[in-house]
Amino acid sequence: MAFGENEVYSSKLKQEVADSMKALFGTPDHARIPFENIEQLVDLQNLKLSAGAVASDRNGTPQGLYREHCAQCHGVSGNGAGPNAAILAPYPRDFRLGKFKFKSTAQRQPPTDEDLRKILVHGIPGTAMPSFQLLPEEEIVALIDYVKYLSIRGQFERYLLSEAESLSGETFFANESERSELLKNNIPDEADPLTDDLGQRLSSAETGSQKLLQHFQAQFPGLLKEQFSEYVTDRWAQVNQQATQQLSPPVWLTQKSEPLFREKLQLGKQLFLGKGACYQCHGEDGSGMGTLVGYDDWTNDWMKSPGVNMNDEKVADAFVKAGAHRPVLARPRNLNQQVYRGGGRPSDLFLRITNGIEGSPMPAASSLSDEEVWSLVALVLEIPNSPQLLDGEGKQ
Amino acid sequence: MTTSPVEIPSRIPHRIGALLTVLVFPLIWLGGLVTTYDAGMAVPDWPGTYGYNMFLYPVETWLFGPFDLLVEHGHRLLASLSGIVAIVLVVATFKVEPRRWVRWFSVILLLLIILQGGLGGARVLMDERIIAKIHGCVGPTFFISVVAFCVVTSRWWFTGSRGEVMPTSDQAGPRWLGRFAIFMLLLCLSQLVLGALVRHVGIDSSPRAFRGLIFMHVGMAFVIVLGTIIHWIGSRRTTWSGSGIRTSVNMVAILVLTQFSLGLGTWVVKWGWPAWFADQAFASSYIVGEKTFFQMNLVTAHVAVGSLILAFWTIHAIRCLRLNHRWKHRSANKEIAGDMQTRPEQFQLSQPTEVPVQV
Repeated sequence: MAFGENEVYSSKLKQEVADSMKALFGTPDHARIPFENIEQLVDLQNLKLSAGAVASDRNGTPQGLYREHCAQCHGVSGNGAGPNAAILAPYPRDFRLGKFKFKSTAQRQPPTDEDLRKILVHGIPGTAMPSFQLLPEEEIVALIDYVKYLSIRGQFERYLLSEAESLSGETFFANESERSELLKNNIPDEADPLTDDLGQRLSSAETGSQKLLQHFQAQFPGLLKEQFSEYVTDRWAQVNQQATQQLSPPVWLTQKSEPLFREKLQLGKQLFLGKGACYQCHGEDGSGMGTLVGYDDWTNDWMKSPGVNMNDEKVADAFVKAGAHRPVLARPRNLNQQVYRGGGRPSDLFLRITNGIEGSPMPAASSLSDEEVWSLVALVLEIPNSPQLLDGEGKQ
Repeated sequence: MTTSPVEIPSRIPHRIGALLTVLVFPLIWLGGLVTTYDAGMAVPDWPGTYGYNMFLYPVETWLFGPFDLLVEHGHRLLASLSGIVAIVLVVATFKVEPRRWVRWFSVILLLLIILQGGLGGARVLMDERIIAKIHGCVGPTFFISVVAFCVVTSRWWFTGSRGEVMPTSDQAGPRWLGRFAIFMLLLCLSQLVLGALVRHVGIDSSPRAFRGLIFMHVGMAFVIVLGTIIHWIGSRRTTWSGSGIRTSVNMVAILVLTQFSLGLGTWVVKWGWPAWFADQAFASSYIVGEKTFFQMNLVTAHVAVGSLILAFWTIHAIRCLRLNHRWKHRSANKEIAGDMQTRPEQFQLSQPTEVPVQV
């Protein structure tokens, strides 16, 4: 089995990229990670539990966890296009963009392990993303690492495809012997002894994948150092070390202490209908029927380019034929339902408003102070109990 | 039209067939659970279990070990037991059953269960999805064959459900019922194959292909519900009272409606509520629970009830065809019916008796 290519790109070097990716990141049966800070990124033993075909030994130690629990929707390569994907609403996440919706970190930052764990354990209400709370903790952790692996792999593939476009030739290599040395002899297959023991530190400078990485570093000076290290691997490696902001809701919110609580609700209402412009998407009554709607980044990734009319059925058909999902508008949350996909605690809502929901049209409220955000949180939590709060008056 | 004296055969093959039916239904359920739980590769060798002879594998490790091992090894043991019963069935049938075609029917059953066992083994040894699909389809085919065997060896086959030789009415039953029941049986078999394709879809299959498959499965479900309603009305209107076909068609109708509900339930417990329900709080707050007891068993029930529907369509179709056949030869049957009134002692089924029966 092989990872599918990234169909979003059409490149004359597609096969070259596919072979390079195989040499660097292995196959769905034999995962590799070629970076030096590998220990900070993922645990290789976790990859071993998650990769490969579904099986288990007599003690119940599993293999192929990703294919057992995730690949039917998220696809083998994490492209969000597993066999079940087209009938689901919303579509499953494409991990290869490195974007995750519900997290405690800011936009363009990867999620922490704890963020991913929360989603796996609790699931996402109203979607096909299930709760895996019956899985043992070690299997959850293994899946988290594999999702990170697929995301890092997918992001690297995107960088490589985009760099390949800048080349005038039809190969990454000077001649066939260099190609053979760096690529052909380094692609894992069933008979390749390199792949037998995942415990081998493939990040070692002696391995072929490291040499290939160095080759790319020389060929595309910006690729690994400035782009990939800084924006991808370093961020994934460091995100868990960053001090997580401890969020404690203010006392007036938790205890609904009057008259402050009522004042904050009024402030929240003014922000909702004014400065925050929440009503534009969520509607003046909070029902999610606003006038401003958009597509998420996973749809935009395919179709948002100059001259493409995503509402044109014929255009959409052509993209769907190429492998995209049929474009569906991202529907803003109906705040009357008291259902919040990323969690319903005040601190969860604070993060959604402050950081936005990455990949979706929900923006980060960067212009609002913490106090204003807490006021909005109070309003959002109170809307289902007092729908008259948003009577449409007060819009600025 | 010819009549020949036939000894009403011994009930033993029927009873062994019934035992086999009772064993095979939970076997299908367990097989469904193997797939639902992704336990197909929980035991990587075959026909042994982790190097042991299958029958000697330690009971405590089986019962108190990992759940997937419990299910997979249990499936193998029950399958082996069913195979043994199938052998006994062949021996008993050859010993006491006078009808040659019924004897060979029992041999076909044995060959089918051997084939099914071999497919199960090949699925494990080769880890091939296509074999899993075939294994998933041959199982129900074997099940309905055993059920058909039970019908043709049953008391009903000779006398009807009230002990009379039927139909005694001069009015023909609707002749389309038998043919339509066969059509419905084939439709349900196709639906089962579609279900197997949905269930065993490869992880590298395209989303568009899967969507096509699932829409066909859902569309076919509506057609089956409609066909069942039509057949139910037809069967209820027949003058073949006491023939047992109302009972069988009632069972078919109940099971088809149950299955339709289970299908909807399967969708929800696997993928959540469809997008049309997004505005309903119950749907937008619903969280799918991966591999919960409820999810596992609801999905497996959908698989098992599919087989049960096939079984009852088989019973019903055979009954309708048999009644049509009887009606065509009603003159002889009337004669027998008259005999039954004048010489009832000859029709005691507990005693093997020489009676002229159209076979």
